Formats: sequence, C-alpha cells, structure tokens
Amino acid sequence: MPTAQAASVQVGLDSAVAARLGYHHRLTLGGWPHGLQLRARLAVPVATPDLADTRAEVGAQAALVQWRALWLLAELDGVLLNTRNAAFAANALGLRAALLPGYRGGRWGLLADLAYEATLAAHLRPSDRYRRKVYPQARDGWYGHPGGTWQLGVRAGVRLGPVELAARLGWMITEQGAPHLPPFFGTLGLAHAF
Amino acid sequence: MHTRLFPLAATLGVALLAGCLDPSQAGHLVPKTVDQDPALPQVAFNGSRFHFQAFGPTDAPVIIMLHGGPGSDHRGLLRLRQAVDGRRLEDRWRVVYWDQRGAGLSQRHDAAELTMARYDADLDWLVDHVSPGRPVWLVGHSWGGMYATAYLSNHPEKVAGAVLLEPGPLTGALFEEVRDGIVNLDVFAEWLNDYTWATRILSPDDHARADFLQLTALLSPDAQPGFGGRPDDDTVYWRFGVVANQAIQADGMAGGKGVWDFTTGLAQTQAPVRLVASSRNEVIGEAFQRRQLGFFSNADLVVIDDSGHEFPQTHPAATLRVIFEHLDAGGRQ
Repeated sequence: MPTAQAASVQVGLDSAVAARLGYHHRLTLGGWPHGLQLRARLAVPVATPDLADTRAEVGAQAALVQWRALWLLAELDGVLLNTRNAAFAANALGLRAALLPGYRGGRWGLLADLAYEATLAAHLRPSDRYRRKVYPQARDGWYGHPGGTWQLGVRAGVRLGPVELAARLGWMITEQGAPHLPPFFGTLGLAHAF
Repeated sequence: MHTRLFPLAATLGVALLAGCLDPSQAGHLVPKTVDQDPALPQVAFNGSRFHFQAFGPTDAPVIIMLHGGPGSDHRGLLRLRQAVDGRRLEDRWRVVYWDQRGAGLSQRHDAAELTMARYDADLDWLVDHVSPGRPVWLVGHSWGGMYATAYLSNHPEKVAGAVLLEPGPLTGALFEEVRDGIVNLDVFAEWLNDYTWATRILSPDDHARADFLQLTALLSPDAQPGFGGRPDDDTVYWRFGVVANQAIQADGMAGGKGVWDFTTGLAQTQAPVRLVASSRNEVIGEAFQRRQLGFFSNADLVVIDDSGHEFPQTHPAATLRVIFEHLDAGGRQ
C-alpha cells in the first residue's frame, strides 16, 4: 500500500546545466524501516534546451541497514540517455547503483553519496557533418559498454513539513579514473510530499 | 518461472553485448593510426611512428608544414598543394606534411611521452633527415606557428625562414591575456553542455573514445566564437589527438598559468619570418599578431581579407599567395 507520494524538481550542474523532474512513490514493506521508494525521473539540459538531450531514470531506493538515526540506503536505477551533438547522436541504456551511508534524523539528514553508473550499450550514429568533414567510414550501430562514471559526494536535506530541500555536491570521474569535464556536480532540489 | 527467466535474460544480454561494436577499436568511430594501418604513408623515428607525406623534387629546398592543435592533423593543410597563379609549392620545393607525435593519424602515446622536449627532438630529427646540411622553411598554422617559433628559437641555424599562419600566443604571458577568448568555457555554452552530456554515454577512457568525443567541440562553431569561423566553413580533419593536446598544453603550464616562452632564442636569428592573420579573428587576429611581430627582428605581417582562423583551409589560394611572396623574397637570399 502506498503511504506517500512526492514530486520533485532538481536543478544544477550534473554533466550539464540541467533540470530534473521526478515522481516518487513510497511503498511500505512489512518491517522494512524505509519502505521501498519507487521513482521515475526525467532530466534535460537547460542551458540550451534540446529535447534530443534527455535522461530518463526508473528505479528504487531502499534501506539496507538502520541503527537509530544512522542509515545505509541503496539505490538502483535503470537509465535511458539520449544525446545529439555536432559529432553524433546516441541512445543509450545504463544502470546506476548508489550507496548512501549517513545520518537521517526527523528534520534533516547528511549522507555520503557513492554512485557508479555504467552505460551498458549505446546506439551511436555519427553525424553527417562528422562523416563529411572527418571520417566517412564511421560506423552506425550498437556499441557495447561505451562508458561509465563514478560519483563521490554528499547529500544534505532539510524537511519542512511536506517539503524537503536537498543539495548534492561531489566529484565525478570516469570509469578508469580520469576527471570528467567538469570534474564536479552540484544540484539543489525541492520535493513536495502529498 | 522467475528462476527460468533470469538465465534467459542474462544469456540474451550477453549475446546482445557480444554483437555490439567496440567503441575503443579504431576504425569504428575514428580512423586507424599508422601503427594500426600499414597502408598509410608513414615514417618511424624517436620511438614513435608518424603519418608522413612529402611532395616535390627530393633535392629541392625543404618546407616542413606544421599543423595546428596541438593534436590536430595535416589534412586541411594539404589544400596548400593546389596550384595558384599557375604554380605549386612542390614545383620548386620539397614539401613535407606530417602529423605530430600523438596527433592526427600518428601513433598514440601516454601523456608522459608527449612533451615539448620530445616535440623539439621530433622536428629536429625530421629537419636533419629531410634536409641534411641545409636549413629548412617552416610553415605552421595556429599551434603549428607556435611550434615553428619554438624550433626557430632553439635551432636558429637550421631554419631558413618561416611563415606563421596566425600562431597562438608565443608566450604564456600573452596566453593569459587572451585565454578567455581561446576556448568558450561559459557554463551555458552549447558545445560545452553537448560535450559534458555526451561523456555520460561515452567516456574518454581511451584514445579512440576521447578523440571521437573531442569532435563534438571541434565541429561546434560556438567553441571558439571569437575566431571568425562560419558554420559553413569547409574544414576537414582526420582525427584529433586529445592526449597530445592536453599533454603539450600542460607542459607549458604551472600553477594553472601559462609559463612557456618560445621566443627566448629569437634574438639569435635574422631568418625572414612572415606572420599572417585572419581579418575576422577577434582574439588572435591582426591586433594580436601585430604584438607578436615584436618578438622577431626580421618579420612582417599580412592579413587575409574576410577570413577566420582556419584560412589555410577556407582561403588556400590567398594563403598560398602570401607564402609564395615570402618564399620568393626570402628564399633567394
């Protein structure tokens, strides 16, 4: 049985200047302190809005361990990423897993954010411009495991009645440890439970 | 039921991934380099293998072309092979085109093997082997003009003269004055957001992927908005060497500031140098090159009308005319 729903909005720098809208639906599960929070989110870059650049996530958050106000939360999301730029267009499927250990009290919380996201496969299509100016033989098709990202940061939140304000901040590196451009992420968010 | 579905899904997943292309394999998203494709014209020296072509009589005076970047390639400079006013460079000169270490279609290396010292040694080897005992002419575009100046400064006795096609800053101090205009790092810039968004799909974790990703910037007109390029400019490239680009830039930086000085030995040479600027470049165009002119004791400046920074590709005939004029004047001295 659902006990709470929430809508959220998040803006900030997360691989691009982006906005993310979300819907969250909490299920209570017998004896499980946090229940299971199902969610669906959609992110788009807002610096230069382009609906060819989107990120959709469907997943869940659950508590693995709780002792008093100390928690270990886990998240798992399926990710659909789309992009189109001067060199190529792509549609990609990925998985994102995160562990969030930290304090989560009645009014506020502070959690570490350790996440790994793997792009499992992407359908890449080099652009006509790229073929004309650079490499005519570039191949369209499905590419296996083209990328991965580690995110290491913190999340902080304050609850004010039905509203929760949250901030995320941290560093990003590629799967093999190279810094991302930019090498950090930072977002501000607001969720309203109803 | 679920216990049967899981292995089936896993098997299907593995089968699908096994049928996928490898983004790290050259030939799929980016062309192969000379060490991967023996059919490409090449030469090996100083522990690396270079994409290399030379045209013209083997006993003629030598011109060595130096492409931009660092990291780009000589494909666009090949437009300077065309005839203008009934003559070609290679009619009277031996003209050498090559991709620098770790750049274009030359062999890739780790960053530790990509330093200005090695770049200097590479060009020195080339000069000694394509023009033994006779000074060469250097023609360098953008970064290639900086590279030519560094070589002229270090080896004045081996350079007969140079044409510097809108070189970048010849000192770190000058770079600091214009660095905001060289690359548009506005957090709202479309090219930057396109690049960073794309890195969540394709990580720059090896040469092929990093080189391919870089084209999102190279093909975007807003990456260098002050350089006078136009969206319909007919520019061409083979492949951009990202690690070379980053390593050579890093070699000239300390504490985040540009500290290089490619001009220290210029006082030792009277070799004729011509600087060429594009009329539309608002960052390193005519006004900037006029300041750089002061580093040389025997130099002049010419402006190519109605052109942007890529004028050797977009205006090859006009570029060739100013090269011929300089060679005709200085080459007979």
